[in-house]
Amino acid sequence: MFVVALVSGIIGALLGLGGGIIVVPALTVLFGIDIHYAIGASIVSVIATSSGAAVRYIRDHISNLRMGMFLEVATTTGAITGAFVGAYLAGATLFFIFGAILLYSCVVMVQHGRMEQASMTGALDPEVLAEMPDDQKSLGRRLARRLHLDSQYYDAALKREIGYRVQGVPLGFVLMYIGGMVSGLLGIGGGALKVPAMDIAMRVPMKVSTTTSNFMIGVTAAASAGVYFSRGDINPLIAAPVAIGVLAGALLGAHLLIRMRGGLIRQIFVVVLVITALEMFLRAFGLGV
Amino acid sequence: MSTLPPEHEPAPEGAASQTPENADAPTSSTPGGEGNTSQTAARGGPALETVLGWILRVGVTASAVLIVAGVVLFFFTGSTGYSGSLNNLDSLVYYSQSAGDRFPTTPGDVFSGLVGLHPYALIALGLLVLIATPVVRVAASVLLFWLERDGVYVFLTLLVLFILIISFLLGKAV
Repeated sequence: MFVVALVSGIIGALLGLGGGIIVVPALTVLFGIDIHYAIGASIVSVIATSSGAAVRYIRDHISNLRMGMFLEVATTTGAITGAFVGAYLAGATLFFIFGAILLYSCVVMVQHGRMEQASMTGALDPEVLAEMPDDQKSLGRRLARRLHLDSQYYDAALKREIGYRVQGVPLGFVLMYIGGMVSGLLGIGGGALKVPAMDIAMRVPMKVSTTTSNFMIGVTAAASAGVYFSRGDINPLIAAPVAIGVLAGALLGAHLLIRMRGGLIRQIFVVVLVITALEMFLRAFGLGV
Repeated sequence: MSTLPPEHEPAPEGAASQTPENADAPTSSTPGGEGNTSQTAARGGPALETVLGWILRVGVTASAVLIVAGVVLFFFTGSTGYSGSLNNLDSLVYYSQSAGDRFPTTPGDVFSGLVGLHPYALIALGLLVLIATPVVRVAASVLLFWLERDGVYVFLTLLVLFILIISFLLGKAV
């Protein structure tokens, strides 16, 4: 269980997923643990991933604190909605929703990967970007300027500063509400929806998407964790090895992300999502192990 | 933004409201991520960034220590401190709606369990510290934005904090 949690922490920190997508199926499929406890433990793992990795991301300024905090308003509201709806849904329904959401995310992420390669607009030199004309009229760009969402970070893999302008702010905000709801429903950080939302709607670089998602999932999960804890869904014997393993994994994952290229992170992200989506569909139709 | 350095060149019209670090950070930073000191300075709060990092480290370390201590104590004493022991592990992972008698589910339970040094109470306290860490982080961010004179974000962050507190209260009410 500790090893599963360790792997989950590494992948979660790297992909901004919180690792819930690994912890929930692993606990239910491999260890035969009840879905309620699995979700409770994964909520804990999400927070552990977020805090463990954030120690590193804060120092290196990869995550976008302002964007994260702004979107967090949508996401925490969604999380409350989800946590309460979840108590009234059957296990199979949850698995099906989970799978469908993941599969949808994959499709869009692959599409966007191709777009990014074709146009090369994803990552720009900050000085070049500052010279480029900005869209003065669109609501998304007006909001992005008002909220100071544009930023830049130092990419250790590319060995240069990467500047970016945030697009599609209203759409991103709505998607974040849905992401928060999914998180509250399923005990995953909702990163599976947050990363694509930032990637596709808001056009921020892949590393910024995953690290900002990483920041947000911890806060969102904390909103749900109180609900789960008092409901008795967080079983100490299950949550303890998960928390410790994930903390250790998150530190390793954060270390890896800083040195990896955004394109590679995107590819791993899509692969992990496809596998998990298939697992969830199997469970939904009662074919799981 | 008020944190723009005086020697900063006026940005072109289209980029007038880029964040300051977008315009003034050197492109030839030293490798390894340490080249971001200019960003830290531009955000006006290197000390507070450090405080945020410090909060995270303390929270993460404290929860890890508590959880490990609880697990060690559990295997040492063979008892959870509640209605469960090492001999019937199956009963510990069996799900039921009334979990309250098998492990603590409120901060009050946790602290009363700590008095008796119950292993599960130690683990639960570690988990609560872990859960509280992001909330403390958000609270500290309010201060960060306030010191930057960024009123919009002081409001947004307080709103997030408010929603978090609401959700805790709602959770208790269920």
